[in-house]
Amino acid sequence: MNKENYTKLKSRYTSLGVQFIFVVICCISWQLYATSRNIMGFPALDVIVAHLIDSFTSTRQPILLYMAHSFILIVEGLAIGALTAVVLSGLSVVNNIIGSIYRLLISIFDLLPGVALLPILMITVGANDLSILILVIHSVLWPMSRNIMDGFRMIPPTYIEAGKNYGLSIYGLLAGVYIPASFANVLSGLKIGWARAWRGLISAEMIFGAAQSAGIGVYINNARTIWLDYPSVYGAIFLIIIVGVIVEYGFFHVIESRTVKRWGMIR
Amino acid sequence: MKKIISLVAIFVLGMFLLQGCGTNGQDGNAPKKITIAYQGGIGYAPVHVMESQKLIEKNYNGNVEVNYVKLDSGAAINEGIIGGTIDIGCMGLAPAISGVSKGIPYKAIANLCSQSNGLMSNDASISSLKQIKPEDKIALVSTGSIQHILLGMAAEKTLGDAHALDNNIQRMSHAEGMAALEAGVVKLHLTSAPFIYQERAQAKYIELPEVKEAWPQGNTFLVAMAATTLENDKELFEAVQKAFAQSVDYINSNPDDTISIEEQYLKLDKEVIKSYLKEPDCKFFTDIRGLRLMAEFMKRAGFVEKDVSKEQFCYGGVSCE
Amino acid sequence: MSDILSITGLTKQYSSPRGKNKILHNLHLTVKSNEFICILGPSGCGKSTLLRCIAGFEDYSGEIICNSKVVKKPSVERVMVFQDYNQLFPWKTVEQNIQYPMKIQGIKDENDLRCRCEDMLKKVGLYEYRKFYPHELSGGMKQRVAIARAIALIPQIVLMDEPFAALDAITRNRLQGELYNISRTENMTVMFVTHNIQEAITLGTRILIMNSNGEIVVDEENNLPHPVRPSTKGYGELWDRYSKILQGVDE
Ligand SMILES: Nc1ncnc2c1ncn2[C@@H]1O[C@H](COP(=O)(O)OP(=O)(O)OP(=O)(O)O)[C@@H](O)[C@H]1O
Ligand SMILES: [Mg+2]
Repeated sequence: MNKENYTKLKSRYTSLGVQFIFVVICCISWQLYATSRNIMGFPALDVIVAHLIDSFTSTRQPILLYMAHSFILIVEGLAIGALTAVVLSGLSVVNNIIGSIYRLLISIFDLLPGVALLPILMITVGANDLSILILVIHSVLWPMSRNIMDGFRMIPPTYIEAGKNYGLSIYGLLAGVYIPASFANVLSGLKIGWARAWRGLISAEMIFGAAQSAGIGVYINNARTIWLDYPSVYGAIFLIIIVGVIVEYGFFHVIESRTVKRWGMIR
Repeated sequence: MKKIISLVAIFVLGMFLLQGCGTNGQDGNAPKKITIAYQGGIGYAPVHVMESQKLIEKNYNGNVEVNYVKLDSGAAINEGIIGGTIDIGCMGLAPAISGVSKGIPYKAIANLCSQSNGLMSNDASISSLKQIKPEDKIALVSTGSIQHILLGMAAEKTLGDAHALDNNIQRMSHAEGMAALEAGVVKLHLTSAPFIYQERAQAKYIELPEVKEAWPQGNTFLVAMAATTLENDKELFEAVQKAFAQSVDYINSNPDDTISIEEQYLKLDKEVIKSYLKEPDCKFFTDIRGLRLMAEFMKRAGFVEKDVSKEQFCYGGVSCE
Repeated sequence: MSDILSITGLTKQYSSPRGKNKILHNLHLTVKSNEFICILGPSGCGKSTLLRCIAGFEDYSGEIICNSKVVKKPSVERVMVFQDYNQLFPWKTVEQNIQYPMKIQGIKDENDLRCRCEDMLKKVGLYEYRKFYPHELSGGMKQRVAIARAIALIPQIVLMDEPFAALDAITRNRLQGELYNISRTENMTVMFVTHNIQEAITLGTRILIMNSNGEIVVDEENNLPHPVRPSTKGYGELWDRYSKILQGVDE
């Protein structure tokens, strides 16, 4: 192993180590505080973990089923939203009229928190999975479109000219040059969209989640309103964090290091 | 080395912050502070009267600052009591029973009222619980709410299973539920006064009788729960209890003044308020009625794990059955 | 030899907030098939602009006719090697960068693609780098890949904008030889912008010099026998003359 690699690895492991120690210290403080105070709304970590493990196997409140329900919804919504964003941003390049209307729509809707749309969705679509799906799509579509359109504008003109020079049609150019050249933006748009959608989805479920279509937000709400089971509330929050971390490191980081990082487009 | 120092610093800081959360220092001269939480609706009229007439302040021999906050669910109030930010919370009987059963440190200090509840349908083919299909949504304000428990009671009686309709529940505020029923987004709405009066007034809706019958007319709907820490301050505790009794008295003996006060809080027409107050179900009284009925049901149906006795539920001096 | 390209009355101006900036005025030029035209001129005189107009990247007034068709947009018959070092697609490896335009042209056969690509990479001396991404290459290496990418298409006209500017003398000499040979064997027409008089004399079958007003002040055949070396008879004289002209036009 050469020296440069060694220093790189070392700094990476130190950073991991620092993060690990930080988390351990937080956990210890939490545990000490919770056991010394014994407050109902601030359960000790072992109680939370025990509840969480319990609820994996419980039949009354199988937390993983609730989580799976939310996760499937968000994956569907992300897929539809991301695809729509790519297609519409692409069409905006092809056609100026579509482009100007689309930019207007983005500036209108990107500012609108999905949860603010809930009352309207509830009345028009009804409080069901479709509403939540629409909310997720809304949370992804606009930030992602904004990012993609910004990305398109930042593409060095040489790439586009080269593409045209080699005889790419406008659609070929979109798929072959525009999208890969702005892939860093596509990804960051997707990241923003995912974060907004995940938060929006859980908020929506907590606000009107139907018992029938039970997502993790409904689980938290049930724990809070019916079972008054605060350890389970914390457990669900931990699970949400864990899923978020897995998506961040298991999905976004992997894609990033295989694409834009490998291509030298971001550090 | 630097890293270790910064970690230690974070640790110490964290402990400080945690410590800070719990301590709510009060020194001798400053006014005593107490926070009362309530929710929306005419059933909270005693709280409205108490605030507008400054009844706690009048009954307490000393300097007290009373803070009134309006929250949107019994669950939020429970959390405030657990966290120590709320001293007295007014809520439906059911969430109060759940809270006591779960060990939330509070007990009933007063009764507020009885109110009308009912389940309305916008579909002519649904006039009984038996006709509700799995896909028919029932809007109600929250799981774990008194409305949810009433639905459970009705379902137990009619369908033999208290949880038979749990999967039909759709959480919506009373107003949203009413709009959703109107728009046809849900088929059913289980609501309370005053919304139930407005829905009953519409000929196109059908009332399913089971819910109305599940809870005998005149039984308690709302109670005031006081944190056990309040009991340590005897004088303040008594002042609050007196204030609740006086406000119920006030409502029953000064209907016109009550209407004026309610006009401020409910932002409704005086005539409308007057008609609500005249409804036979809308009664304000100081003793708790129906605790055992509801507590036994909740235990039986598994809404709570432990039964709740009168002594566990009420402070001494509160009459209760 | 027939005319492959004919430019009449080409005028190009850029408009910016500061007003209109005329670069090329009423320029006339006729290019015969298989000519190797080297263009010299002071920086900023409009050499790149001329190539960009021919490539079809710019709007212009006047007329550019290529293969009896008016040039309106880019086409593979006129492939450009840009002055910009970052013209390779960063998301493709060296190999993919070279093969991609061929694929667009409908060359599907994997074997054919690979052979042509490897052949070109060997010619520009970057065979070992075929799996690299552009950001892992030096400026000169990138430029060589860009040349390979353009030549691999065997276009009728190659428009090259200072392609060898970043190369050391030895690599430059080798690539000059390769480029000259390919252009002769594949019957390509080359328009080659350079600041290097030696390069222009070595490669060009015809040499243009532009002045800072964007006018062509010298347009002559280069009749020195190939391969041209500094020792070739007439080289020194030609070099001196061009050098003087370039000093004169640059004010
Ligand atoms: N996009 C543009 N907008 C405005 N002006 C431009 C643009 N591109 C080039 N110019 C101007 O056109 C003139 C000619 O530019 P051009 O790039 O053709 O010069 P060049 O002869 O290639 O110079 P060099 O040898 O330095 O590459 C310059 O004065 C430049 O300022
Ligand atoms: Mg140039």
